[in-house]
Amino acid sequence: MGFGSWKASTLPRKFSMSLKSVNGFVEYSRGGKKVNVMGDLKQVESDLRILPRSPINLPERITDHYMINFPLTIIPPGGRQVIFIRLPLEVEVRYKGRALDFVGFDSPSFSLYGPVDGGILTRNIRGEIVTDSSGNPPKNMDGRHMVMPLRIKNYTSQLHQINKVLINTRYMDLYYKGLQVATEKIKMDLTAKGVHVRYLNETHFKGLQKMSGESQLLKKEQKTDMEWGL
Amino acid sequence: MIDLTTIDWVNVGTALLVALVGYFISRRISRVAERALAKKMPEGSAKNLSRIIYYVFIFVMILFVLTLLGLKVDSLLVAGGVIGMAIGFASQKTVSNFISGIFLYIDRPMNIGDSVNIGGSSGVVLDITPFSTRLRSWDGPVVRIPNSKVFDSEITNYKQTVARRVEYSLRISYDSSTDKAIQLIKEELAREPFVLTSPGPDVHVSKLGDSAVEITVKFWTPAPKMYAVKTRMLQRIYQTLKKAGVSIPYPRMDIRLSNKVKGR
Repeated sequence: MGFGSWKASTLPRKFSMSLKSVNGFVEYSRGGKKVNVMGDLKQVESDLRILPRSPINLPERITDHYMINFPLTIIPPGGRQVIFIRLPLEVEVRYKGRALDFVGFDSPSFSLYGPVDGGILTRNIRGEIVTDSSGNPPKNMDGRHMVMPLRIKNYTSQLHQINKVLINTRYMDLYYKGLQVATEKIKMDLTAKGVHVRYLNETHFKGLQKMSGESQLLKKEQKTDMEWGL
Repeated sequence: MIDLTTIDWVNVGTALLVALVGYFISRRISRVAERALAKKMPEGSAKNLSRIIYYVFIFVMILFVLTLLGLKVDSLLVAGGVIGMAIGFASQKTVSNFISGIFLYIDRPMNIGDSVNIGGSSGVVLDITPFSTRLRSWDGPVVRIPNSKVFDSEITNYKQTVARRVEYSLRISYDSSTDKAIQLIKEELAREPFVLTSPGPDVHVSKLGDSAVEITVKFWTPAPKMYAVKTRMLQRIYQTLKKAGVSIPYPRMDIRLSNKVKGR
């Protein structure tokens, strides 16, 4: 399976959707007669689109923010580090521009970041650092996860321990090709005034294409402040 | 009889024209003000301030028209002052509502669309006019509350918080295990996505009652989901406890009668 757009004329008139894992890959099919649509998929501009999306709005739209938790990373004073975090994603099925279905790979849970009045509801995302021993990202992706390149820079004179980052998905683009999905590069600056998260509007991975703005907000503010600290 | 020859028709015509133009200008200015204010404040407040601007312009226009018609505005204002006092005494509450309305715009405890409780009346704010605030109560009817009452009342605004806490008090039998009950409740809460993990739920024994052990359950949930989650979780917790054999007792009183009656 891959992500992309397909001609609706290649699909049967009546079909149902199913998603299953086959040999470690995700197989998405639509067809009461077990028609595997994926066999007919062609990379052409058409009506049906199967797209990766940020794991944010299942089961209902509650928040645009997610708090990605990952194993503790220590950044010395003045230090910088690039880590690759693997996150679950969701798949959105669109037909003629209308969302037909979402498929999630993670049990959602939410928490409150900040005070009750003025704080932010965030979806909890359990991330896994997948940087290899040479500091590179993983070579294979499975269509269930995306990889977030996170560049952390410590501008302070203190050592910081980081195990979470706040992301606003409305500012973040996804890039994909086949089963490979990645977020745009994210930069996390630790300064004396606070923690700032910036969206760099570029991909770390060659050959991935930017997802169209249908499920992402076009407006880009490029910055999220972690107002209530780490 | 009015002697029509003594009327200055030119002035009357001019006054009518001024009234007409004044009316349209007032409306226009009010709309422009509303649009400009809406960028800087909530929609409801902008709408109400623009209404006040409209009334001020209409008042000035009326004074101008009266001047054109040859009436002395200063004497009119004096006379108006006397009449105004009389009307003022008669309409104290209306004036009080109007002034309270202005104070509400400044204080801004709520906006149109907010879920609120004003002095015991709960619902969604439909409109805030200079004189009154209208709520659509949860069961449907629209409630009009005078602004003076709104200003004096305790206002709870549910929309200004992103999360709300739900609390239950459950009673279980002394024969049942509290540890087991607490564990089951925690597991049930963990299964619900809209029970926030941070701040996390709190489940503890809160009282040893006459006929039952009281367990308090507290958890936070996204404000828009509060009602649905509150009702759903109570049902689920009840079913879980029932299925696990944790008994929830009725209030019980043991009365023992003695056969021995002591003499006088």
